[in-house]
Amino acid sequence: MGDELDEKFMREAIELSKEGDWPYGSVIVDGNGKVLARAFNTGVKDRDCTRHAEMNAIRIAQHALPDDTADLEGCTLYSSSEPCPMCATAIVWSRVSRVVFGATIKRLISEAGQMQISISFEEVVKAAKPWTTCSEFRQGVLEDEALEVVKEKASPRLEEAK
Amino acid sequence: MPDANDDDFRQVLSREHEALEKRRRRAAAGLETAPPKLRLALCATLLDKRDTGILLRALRETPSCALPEDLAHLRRIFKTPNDGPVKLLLCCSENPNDCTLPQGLEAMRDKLGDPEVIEIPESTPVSYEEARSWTMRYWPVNFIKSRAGLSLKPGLQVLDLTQSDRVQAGKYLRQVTALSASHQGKDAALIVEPNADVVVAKSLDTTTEEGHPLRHAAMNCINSTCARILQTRLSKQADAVPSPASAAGSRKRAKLDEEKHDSLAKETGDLENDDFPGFDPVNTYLCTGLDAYLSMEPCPMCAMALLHSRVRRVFYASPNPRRGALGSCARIHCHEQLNHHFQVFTCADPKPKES
Repeated sequence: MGDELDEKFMREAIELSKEGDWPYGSVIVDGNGKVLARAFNTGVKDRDCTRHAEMNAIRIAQHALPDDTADLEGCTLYSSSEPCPMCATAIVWSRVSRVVFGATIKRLISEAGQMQISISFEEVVKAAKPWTTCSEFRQGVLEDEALEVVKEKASPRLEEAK
Repeated sequence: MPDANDDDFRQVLSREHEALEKRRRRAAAGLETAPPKLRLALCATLLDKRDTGILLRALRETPSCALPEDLAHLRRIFKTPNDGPVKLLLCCSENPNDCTLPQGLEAMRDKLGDPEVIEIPESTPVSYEEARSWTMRYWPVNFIKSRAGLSLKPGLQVLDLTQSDRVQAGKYLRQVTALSASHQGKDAALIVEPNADVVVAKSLDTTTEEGHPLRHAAMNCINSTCARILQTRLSKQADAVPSPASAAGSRKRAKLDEEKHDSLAKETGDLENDDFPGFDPVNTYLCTGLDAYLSMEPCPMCAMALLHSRVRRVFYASPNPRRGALGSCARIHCHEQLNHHFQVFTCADPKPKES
């Protein structure tokens, strides 16, 4: 998939991130460029810590597939921010082929004050090498834009939490 | 024979910490431990033992004789066996051929024999036994308990389970193993409120039934717990004020998860009632204060979900050498930069138990 398409879907993921309880959004697109899922973080509304944008997207994509297998081989997952190790492993288990994300964990911690855990997506995928079908990932696509949303939306909330 | 003492758990610690514990156990059993890291130092024999006090004061007051903070375990005085001469540790040394008296100690020259370069343990002993063995071999060292561990964040501390903790953990771990065994060995998970001693949620792995790769037992269990909490919260809200439209959607979803939970509970013949004495869903933030019991060590996804859920402790029955993220392949809970810490335990003896 070309850079232009990546940017288009990333922009959509960033738009979704503005809707989230926490500012993260995700889009899953199949091999033909058809969007299977659009999701954002619903952790607060559902009182469920596993409702990250990527997890929600994978759950929705399952029902979009005709045979209901949730085998996402051939699909690309877009996420406004780098997936946490939980989501990264979920990506491995659901056999997503390609991942594109905006803000990296490193910058989420250093610039947006997020309490992210500094285990990178690459590290998880590498560790899961024997099983993973995720053969390619791109990071830092529209990173500044993605980060801007996080800063704007999350920082006041972090202050509140303190 | 009562088996209350049989439930023995091993805490899963960082690799570093595990090595330390192993060393401690070996030393305590009188076994050989790895030799300490040594460094050079200057020592001298005291010509008259009655000068000990004067010399010790001089060493304290002479800046070039000060020992660095991390050598606090070393003793200054070495009383050689059989009432032999007393030796004094003068200072650290860098050069094996330099035997000159440290600067500032010149006034004491006539009270000391010729300085000599020796090797002293730089490492800190981890037990009394290790300190004694190094004392015999190198130079007298003290065992200082407060210095014998790694400097760990509070959440990563070693936790000794109390007898009642062990009994409770043994009970639920057997329960989760039995649940797994009665479902063709599928992974099973329980989330327990430890003070009230009740099961809040129980789940099985449903990846095949639901055709969904994320439906691992621990994930289902966290989802059920969260749904249960949300459900109670919303119904309490609904009692008080008419519910807004957005909450209705969430409630429906929570209800669905709840039904799933209940159907499993029915299936396993152990339906919990909705009223948990001692468990207050309205004031519970995620799974704070709850314990998770798993039949199998969790994968990284489940381990992270448990971390996100703020559980208090995780117990698992069997390790997963291929995918386990709490001991086998990774130790996510030992990561330095976590916003929450939970303790992880597994059976010390993974032998299946008759109950």
